[in-house]
Amino acid sequence: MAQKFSPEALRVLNVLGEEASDGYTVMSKAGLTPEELVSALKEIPTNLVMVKGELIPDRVGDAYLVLPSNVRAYANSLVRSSA
Amino acid sequence: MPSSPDIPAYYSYLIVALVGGVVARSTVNDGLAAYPDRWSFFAAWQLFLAYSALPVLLFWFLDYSSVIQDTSLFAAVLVAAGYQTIFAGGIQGITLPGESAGLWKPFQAWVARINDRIATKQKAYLDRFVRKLELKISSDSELLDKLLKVVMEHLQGATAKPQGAAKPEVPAKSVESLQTTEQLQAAFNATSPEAHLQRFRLLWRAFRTAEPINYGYILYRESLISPFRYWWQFRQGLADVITYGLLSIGVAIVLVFYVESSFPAYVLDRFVFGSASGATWTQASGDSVMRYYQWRLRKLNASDKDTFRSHEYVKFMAAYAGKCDGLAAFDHLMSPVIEDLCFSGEPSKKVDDDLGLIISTHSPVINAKTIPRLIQCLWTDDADNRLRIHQTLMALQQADYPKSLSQTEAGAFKSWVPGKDEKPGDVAIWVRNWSGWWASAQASQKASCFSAPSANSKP
Repeated sequence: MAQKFSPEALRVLNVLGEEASDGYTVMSKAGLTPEELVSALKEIPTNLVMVKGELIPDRVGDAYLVLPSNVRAYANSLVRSSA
Repeated sequence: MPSSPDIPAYYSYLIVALVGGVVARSTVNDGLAAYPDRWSFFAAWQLFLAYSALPVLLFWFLDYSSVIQDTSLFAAVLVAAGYQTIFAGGIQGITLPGESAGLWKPFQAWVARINDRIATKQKAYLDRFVRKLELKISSDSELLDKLLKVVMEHLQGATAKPQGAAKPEVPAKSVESLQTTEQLQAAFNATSPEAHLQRFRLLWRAFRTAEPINYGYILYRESLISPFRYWWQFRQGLADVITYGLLSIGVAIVLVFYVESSFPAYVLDRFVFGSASGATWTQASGDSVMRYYQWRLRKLNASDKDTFRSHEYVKFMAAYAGKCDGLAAFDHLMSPVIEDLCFSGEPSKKVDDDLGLIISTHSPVINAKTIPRLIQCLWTDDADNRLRIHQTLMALQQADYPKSLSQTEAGAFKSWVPGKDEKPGDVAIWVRNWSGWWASAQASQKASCFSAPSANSKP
């Protein structure tokens, strides 16, 4: 059964589906505040999005976020099903 | 694949390597699609090399286990393009023996680790860039003021226009969270003028929030970073350096291999241009060429056509055995092939092929190298093969030394039929008899490698 994610988390997955990015880029593309990004990343399981950096609002911009290629299809299906 | 064209094995392996390389490039691009500058990581090249080597190793293994033949063109293309499907057991007729398909799982786990390592490295690269910029700007108050000016300009731009200008799908929510220029100026002024590092970090966060994507170009345009740093960090300079560096190393290795080894020149002359003149025999006798044909001659599951090609090569080399270096080359080529005949488990078809080849290339000069080895191989535990070797010695005796045995002696040799229950002592007698004959036959012939190439050994 597909997992349920918040709209913010789905926007993060959508942005990371394009390419790995730093937190600032994700916030800008997904239209999120640092707090929202931190909360979205905490909601997404670690095997879905790789987070390199600290998950605190002050530092999340410098974090590097990756959606591994082996889960990209699954993430895309989650995003599509929510659209 | 019986309906496939049979091609020399070096072409098959070349096809597997080239097609496998293209597939590997595409696999790495897919697997690391998340990283725009993936080729700037050695780990990505490691993956590329592993994915390139995998089909070659699999092709060799499938041939070794007789699932396919390494001279089959279709098998080469199929393995190179579809090796991942083969591991998954998705190609009918090509099934990996035993549990070998299980090797794919650790490989995939390694690929996942590489993926993780690249993400860590990417983060480290970004951090290193920021730390260097931090050191440079925070130690120079003029640069710090310049950065403040740049941030103010871009903060104004970011707050004044809907951010969607560059990214239309994005709501303006992130703009709301940005500091205004006044807030930033106030925060900047509130920080002690001596606290350069804190001031830089404050500006940097605001700048990155205002310009999350184009910050590199703006830093370069405002001369806050050098053109080299901009190219290196933001124009994939590192990826270019690594790509072209590795390509240059690859080309250099190929060139060294070409110059050092006679194999490529031999393949070009003999099979591409179709010339196999006497001028090319020295190329043909090159170490790598010989090692290749030794491999083909000693292979137990070679195709008939491949065996034919190898025999043609042996005959070609035999034609030059009249020269001393030609004889040495021929001996170097054939000695491991003949030594295989001593092995008790050597299949009878293979023994027949090898002995037939020895008979078809016979000459007094060549016999000087082959007969002593054949006599020693009479010690083999396989009585059938011992009989075959004995019959070959008889054939060589009749062809090149017809007067070396009296009728009685010839009759005695002919009467020996090696049996399974033969005792080592009986074999020793016949080895001694053949050795004695060979000593007298050789003394009477006085064949040397200075004589002209024999007519019957031309290819």
